[in-house]
Amino acid sequence: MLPFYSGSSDFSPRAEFSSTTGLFELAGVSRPENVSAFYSQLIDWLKIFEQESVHSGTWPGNGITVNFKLTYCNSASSKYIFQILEIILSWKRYGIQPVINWYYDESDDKMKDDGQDLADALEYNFNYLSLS
Amino acid sequence: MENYTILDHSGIIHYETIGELIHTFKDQIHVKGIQTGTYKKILLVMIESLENIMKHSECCPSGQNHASTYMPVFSIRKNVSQFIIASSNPVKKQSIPAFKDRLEYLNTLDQQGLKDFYKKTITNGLFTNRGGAGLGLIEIAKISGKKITYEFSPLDDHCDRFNMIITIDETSN
Repeated sequence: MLPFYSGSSDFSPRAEFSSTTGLFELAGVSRPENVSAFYSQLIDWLKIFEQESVHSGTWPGNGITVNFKLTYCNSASSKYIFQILEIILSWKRYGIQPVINWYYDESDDKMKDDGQDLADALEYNFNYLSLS
Repeated sequence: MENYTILDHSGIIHYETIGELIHTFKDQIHVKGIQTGTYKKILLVMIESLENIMKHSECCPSGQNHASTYMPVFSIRKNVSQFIIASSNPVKKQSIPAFKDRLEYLNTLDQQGLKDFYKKTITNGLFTNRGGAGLGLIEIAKISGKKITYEFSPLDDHCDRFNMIITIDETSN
């Protein structure tokens, strides 16, 4: 399956998903003009990846790692990020134990709080790591 | 400490307008010596407020969308110890009761209550017909940590002007 890549802009994050390495990364600022269109393509990719992995019975050897390196995300983006994580965490039923790394700038408590609120809503532990 | 204006905008808010205002605001950080944590809080409230205006300012009567009466207004000011983020825009009368209920409810919640309401809202999977997540005002209340000051003043038979003031302490980081 082809990897997913979308470059960052002033107000859209860089999104990079690889079916080979099992690494999913979202970085930068998330305030895309059309939030629904932007995140729907990521959700679609994840659903196809799941279908293909289940069909072939092959998941990435290193497991699934999700890196969030966001400096800002608006509230609409947060809801889509929640949906993305719901999909990824649903793969626990296939024996996958995703690792969620939430990076934040140490001078920015709010970004860390956002990660903790998401982790709380998903009832799943994130790793909190410094961006520097 | 002096009182000063950081941003003062009057005009229709488009997606690009928000980007321009963000850049203007960022240019002010170093000039005004605003600390990073405080700057980030102001920025987040600013963006959620402007996105609310963009989504809801749609009730100008035909041909009057440039009339000052219906023009959205947004400002960030600093007084002795607080940053004051003020927004004002027309809203349809029919949407006011639900809007008011939400604001009144948010003003009854403490930080833990806001976190619980945020969790309930982000997990409901619902989006508004304008593409909103229903999280914007909750975020604003969480960041400010203070009651949201607001009022509705009649504009015409169909619209009111919605005025909202959010305050952020200068020292909050």
